[in-house]
Amino acid sequence: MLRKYSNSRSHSDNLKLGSLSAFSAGMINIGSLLLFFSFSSNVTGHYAILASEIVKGNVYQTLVVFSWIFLFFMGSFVANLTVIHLNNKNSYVAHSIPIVLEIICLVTVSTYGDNFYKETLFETEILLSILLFAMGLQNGLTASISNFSIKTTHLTGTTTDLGILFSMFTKKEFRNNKTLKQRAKLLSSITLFYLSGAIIAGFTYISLGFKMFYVVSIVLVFIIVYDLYKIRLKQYWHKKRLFKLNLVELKENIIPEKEKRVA
Amino acid sequence: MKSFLKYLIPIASIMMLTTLMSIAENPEKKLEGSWKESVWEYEKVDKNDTKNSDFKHISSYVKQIASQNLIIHKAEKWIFLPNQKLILKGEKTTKEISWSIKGRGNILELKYGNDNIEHYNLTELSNDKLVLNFNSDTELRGIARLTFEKNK
Repeated sequence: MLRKYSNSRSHSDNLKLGSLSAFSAGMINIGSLLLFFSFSSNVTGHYAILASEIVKGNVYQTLVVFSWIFLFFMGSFVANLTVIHLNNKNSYVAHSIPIVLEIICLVTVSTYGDNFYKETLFETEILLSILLFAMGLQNGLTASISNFSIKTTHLTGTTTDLGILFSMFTKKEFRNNKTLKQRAKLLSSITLFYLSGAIIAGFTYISLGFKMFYVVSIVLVFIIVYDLYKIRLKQYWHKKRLFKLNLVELKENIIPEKEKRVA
Repeated sequence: MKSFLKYLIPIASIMMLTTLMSIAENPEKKLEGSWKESVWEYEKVDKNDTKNSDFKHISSYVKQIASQNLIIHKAEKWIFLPNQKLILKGEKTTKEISWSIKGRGNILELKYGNDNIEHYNLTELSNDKLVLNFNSDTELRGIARLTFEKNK
């Protein structure tokens, strides 16, 4: 999911990363709406709200919404900064750092909300800012490493693309196009997982409260560990193959040579 | 000229943000104090319910219908204290509940002791006027508007 970059990514890589990150985005977005009465990833909506607050002349609200949009921007900025600067050294580490930062953000919100939150407006705004930064990180990372084919924190573009794709499928030549079919599968999966995450957040909100961000963190940890496990597994198979090759070489060349020498 | 503009834009942006921050007043601080209910009205009502042309303006009737399931039912004076306590004063009753502001400062949350929570849209908040909106679930479906004046 995280090891490969841009065009070297397979459809399966994108499908797994897109689905899991969409699930976590759905949970975070609805979680923040239920806990703080504001979306954490609906930036288009925040732009509309920003405009309306400017028109109303509400300076405080204008500044708050502007800072939320700016933090989403910063999240995306930091994610891509990590990717482009560290990709040459270790792509897995470069792609994992934004997810690790996102986990830190979510655990911070969860821990603070569960233990110290006094429901003041200042706290609400800071916690929401952290969530917007986290969503910026996630969206920036997925878009950056997938060559802009995965965006998981909002579904405007995804729904538009799905509409276009399904209209294309009314023609037989496009219905049989493997790339288009894969794209439709990816976008449908992102939509479905986002919705599932949102519904689960809605159902578990009363019982979990702020702890729901721990659940999201576990999903994100799975994304990181899955690739780590794959890397380890690959290394193991590689070593095993080398060992087998060495054994064959030993049997075919070295042992007969020794036997010859002894004889 | 180009280098001048290069420095001017960030400096102007910082100065503008600093000015705005100094002007901006926290809605929590603005809300603190004593507010008196002045009018109850329906902003959006089902068409069938507006046959009576005077209906929208009968404040006490609207209050009676719209607030029958709400904690604010018998209050006429709302005193927002800085410790997130709200005192609802009526003619004969006084109730103490908790208040907080959510979202970007646009949602007023009222909490009773028994875990009941009500949410109101903080539509307008100035130094002397407060307007709250809420969805009414009563037989008169619509958005009710509650206007307050600040007690000086």
